[in-house]
Amino acid sequence: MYLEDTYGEKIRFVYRHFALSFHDKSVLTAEAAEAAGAQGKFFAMHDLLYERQQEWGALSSQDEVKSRLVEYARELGLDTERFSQDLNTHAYQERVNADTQTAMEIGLRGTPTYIVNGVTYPSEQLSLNPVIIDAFVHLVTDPPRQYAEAPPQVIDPDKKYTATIRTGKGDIVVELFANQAPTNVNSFVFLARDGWYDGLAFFHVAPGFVAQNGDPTNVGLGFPYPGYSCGDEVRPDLTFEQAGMLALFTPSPGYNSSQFFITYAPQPDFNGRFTIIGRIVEGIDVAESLTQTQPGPDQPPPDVIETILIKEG
Amino acid sequence: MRKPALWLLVLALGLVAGCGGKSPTPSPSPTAAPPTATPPTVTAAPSVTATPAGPATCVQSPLSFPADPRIPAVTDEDHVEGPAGASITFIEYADFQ
Repeated sequence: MYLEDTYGEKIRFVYRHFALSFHDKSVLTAEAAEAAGAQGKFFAMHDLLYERQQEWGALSSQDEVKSRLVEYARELGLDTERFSQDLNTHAYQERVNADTQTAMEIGLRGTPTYIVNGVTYPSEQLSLNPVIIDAFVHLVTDPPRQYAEAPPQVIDPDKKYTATIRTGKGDIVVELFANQAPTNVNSFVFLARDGWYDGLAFFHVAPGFVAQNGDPTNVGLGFPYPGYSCGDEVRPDLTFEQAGMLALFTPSPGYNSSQFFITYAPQPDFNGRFTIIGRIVEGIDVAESLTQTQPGPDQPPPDVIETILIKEG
Repeated sequence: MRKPALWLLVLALGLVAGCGGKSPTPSPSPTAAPPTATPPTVTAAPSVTATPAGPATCVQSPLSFPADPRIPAVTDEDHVEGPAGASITFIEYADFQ
């Protein structure tokens, strides 16, 4: 499992039954897992049941399912006599029903429901994609640094600012548009000076398109990670007609926070949608050498921001 | 060829609302059709005051993930895989079907 790879010994899994009555083989298979558990093989049976779901799911009668389950028990080296007896006498039905009852009492809406350190995974908003589950675990267990207030005024919009984005491959120097996008440049400068971006990955790098950064979970969830968000400063005189723009990402109009991207090519589709806060003036070759990647397993390690240095004047 | 898109796995901003948000942030007049996001809600008034000219402002939008006290604690009765001292407990309520 993906989470195990990420968290290793730091994570433990707990399985509880939520055997929905409209799934006709749900209680029986849960009983089978319990019966296997009585012989010390709960998770072995759990894994096998998921693996062979199509096989036993296609069987029509409970008896057929039951004899198939006994075959699985034999495969796992269980005492099949004891196992069959446990199924026939419904030795663990009460246990399964009690778990299900609890799940209903605490208002769980469906299966599967995941709970991370007591926090229910919002499966209505987030898909069950393992990459997103991983990001959620990250958010709950190691939340990003948040600010109790929106950022103080740290720039003078009449002065000139440059940001040097330092990576292992070199520096990307960006002229910031403090005058045209004062609120969002202020926020970016505030975060950069506070080291907020240090160590964050270019989690989506698509040559000829964009490189994205500024998401502490490194997968691009659309959250306002620093605990605040800022309105748009989209100006007609700053457009994506040129490559090398630095813009803030917003999931919908007016919710800019830490996430940003740089463009590798003109992106006229972005005009009017994203606030441009700067333009690369040096190190476009460094930007172009960033490792191509996207969130998910089996990707090369992304490049990270070592730090962002802000120069005034 | 599929048109490239900015990477946005999910727009889970409604989650923020589910965690104690009060009223939705008034959103500036949209310049483009919004993606499928639910706008986040904020839990406090803007703390950066706009100048009369009305530039963009920043507002608090705390991310919080409160634990649900109704979830029963893990006991010896539970089926657990992984070290007892693990700092992350991942509970799955499910069936096999």
